[in-house]
Amino acid sequence: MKVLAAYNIKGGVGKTSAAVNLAWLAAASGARTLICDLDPQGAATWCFRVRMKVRGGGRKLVRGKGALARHVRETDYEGLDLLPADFSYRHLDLLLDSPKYVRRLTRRIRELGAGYDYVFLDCAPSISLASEAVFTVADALIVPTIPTTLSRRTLRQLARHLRREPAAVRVLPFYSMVDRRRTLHRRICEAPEEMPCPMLATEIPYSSAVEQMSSRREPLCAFRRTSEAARAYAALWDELVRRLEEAGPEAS
Amino acid sequence: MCHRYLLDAPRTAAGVLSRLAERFPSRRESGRAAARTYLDTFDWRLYRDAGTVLSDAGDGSCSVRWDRFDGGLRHRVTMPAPPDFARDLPPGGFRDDLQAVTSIRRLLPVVRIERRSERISVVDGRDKAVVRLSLDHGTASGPTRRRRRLPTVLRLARMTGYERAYRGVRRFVEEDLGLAPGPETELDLALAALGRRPGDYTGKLALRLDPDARTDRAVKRILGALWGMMQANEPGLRADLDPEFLHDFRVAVRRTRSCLGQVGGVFDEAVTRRFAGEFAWLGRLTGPPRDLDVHLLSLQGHRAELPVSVRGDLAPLADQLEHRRQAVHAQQVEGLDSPRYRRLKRQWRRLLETDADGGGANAARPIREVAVERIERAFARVRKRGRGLSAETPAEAVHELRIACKKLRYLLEFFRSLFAADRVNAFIRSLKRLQDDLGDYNDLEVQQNELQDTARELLAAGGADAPTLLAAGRLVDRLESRQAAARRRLADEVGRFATARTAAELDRLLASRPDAPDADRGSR
Repeated sequence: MKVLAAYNIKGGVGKTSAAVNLAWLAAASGARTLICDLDPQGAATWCFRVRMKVRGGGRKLVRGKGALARHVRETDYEGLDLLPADFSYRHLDLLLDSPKYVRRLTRRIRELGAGYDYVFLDCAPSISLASEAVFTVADALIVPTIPTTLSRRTLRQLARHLRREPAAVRVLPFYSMVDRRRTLHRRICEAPEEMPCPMLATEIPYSSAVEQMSSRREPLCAFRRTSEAARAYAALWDELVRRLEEAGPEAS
Repeated sequence: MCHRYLLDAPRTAAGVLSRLAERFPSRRESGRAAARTYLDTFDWRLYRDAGTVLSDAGDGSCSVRWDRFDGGLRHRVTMPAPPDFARDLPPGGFRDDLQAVTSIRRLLPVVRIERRSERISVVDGRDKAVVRLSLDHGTASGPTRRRRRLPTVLRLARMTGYERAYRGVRRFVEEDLGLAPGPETELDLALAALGRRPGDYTGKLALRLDPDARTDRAVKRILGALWGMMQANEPGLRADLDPEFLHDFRVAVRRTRSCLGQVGGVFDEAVTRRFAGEFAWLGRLTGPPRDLDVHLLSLQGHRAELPVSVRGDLAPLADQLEHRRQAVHAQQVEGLDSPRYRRLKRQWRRLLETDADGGGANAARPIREVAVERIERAFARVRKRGRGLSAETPAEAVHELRIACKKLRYLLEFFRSLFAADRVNAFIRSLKRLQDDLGDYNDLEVQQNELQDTARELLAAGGADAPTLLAAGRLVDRLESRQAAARRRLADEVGRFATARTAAELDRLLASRPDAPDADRGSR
């Protein structure tokens, strides 16, 4: 089992789009896949047309004793399950007020993921106690990064923060929502050496098709597989699989 | 989880779909055509494990999935071509789990299904699928069976998290549409259409003998079942599909020889002698390939015991063994093609099929009486051979004890249905512990000899370099010290088994009846 978290301190950078499409691609390749929507906005849950409700809410998620599996919903796509979001997740940090609960949350996610090949976490923006749990449980952070100065600055903050963390989670950032017509986007994409950490080679272009995901409530790769953005997600998934394999085959 | 319902006519099928669509909000999905092949080992290991593995070949790639009988997906992977063995799968959980079930057995096509599905999803207020339904029309064919049309099936698939909706649809299908659940899996449906029974081969002897039956009739039934096993395994053995075909074939040959030798006085003496000779020849013919199979398999295990840096040095040895294995396999096939084997088959079948008196002194006696006598004699022989066994006992004497144990075990297996099952099982378990130690000891002896012979052969052919010979030397050393340890364990195990207490247990076993277990059993 590999846990991949779509994460960024900044919001509106394409985390949900990445998590939803990469999870769809993983499932389509034959892997048993779970996507956990940890964002109280519940955009991933919305995209899969699932009701945004977890009985017992964030408290159950963090402090509950029963298995999380009973909250899992099968999506319309074979091999892809979803742990829906709940609006109460906005208080997640209050519930994670002790390291004990951070540890419990990570353990519960691992237990839930045991029956899957890939677990994707769609995280809320910010850096918080919930993020600490994500850094512990994830094998890699997939960080969508818009090629702008501010985004580069946030990525630097993240890289610095993680250097102080005891657990070494891999950081795999990629350029997201790239509009090559813009000079700034072009300039930043063409100077990856100025980024605070090595970027993946695949870029996800800015595309109105990606925005249609929320009105159609389907992953882009499911309804417009041949679009430029869908092909970019497929290339990103291939690159991620290669990079994860480079880290060595799983011990289990 | 899913349920299947058989529909008798296409018109019913269309009616069922429209009634479901009237009753539940639903969405028509795109139809799907698929050609899928169910795979299993010759002895149905996957089916017995309550699952099915199927490959769905597309253009240039093939999707392989493992489902549980209850419909749950266990694993799924896409690979270039269908796997022949579990080891062909890419590294990961699928390969590890499949290997644990199928081990060294080849995955053979059992049934090929070509299916066209009309699919609809029952949806909730968000247009999210909550129950999947499909109408499947298709045909099935087997490797040696003609294509047959399958009945149309309405299939309901439960989706995780939407159990209540599933119950509602299922109730409607069963109560309002009046359909009764059909076969559990698509494989069951296809096998039934082809007239095959899942699990129709097993390497175990499961006969119910009548205690009062004439000995010649009962023995013919045992020999007939063993003959069936040989015939079932012969094609796979000839084609060299996996080592277990030869293994099971040889076990049946050995049991046949044992039956002829141990249950004496069944047939005319000259007939017994002739067939004993012929089956001994069959044993000799199939012996060398089996020894090399065992050696190659154990070499893989022993390799892991050597330091990683020298493991690669054993490769020339493995190649040489494989080369030899192929040569003796060809000789074996030649033997099976010979007039001698064809004659054996013809004459043996004729003997087993005839109802005439066996002609031996025991032929007309009740089988139970003869069985008791023979088992007692075989046990006495084990005790005699086991007496005084120590670390100094020569290897030949250990070998004789091993053979004596094997004969006793076979007799217990032939006649198990004549006695109380739990007593027989307990006794066999106890005997098996001793046999395992004897087997380990013997295998280690054989492997050392094989390894030395192969190394010598390689050296003579100029194909061995110093690292290979050194690696082989290290391995022989290890095998030798393991054999010494096995010998020590063996002395203890014989001491435990060949006692008056075991003899008393055997007496109770032989006095027991299958349908009237004796009273003191509950206290054990």
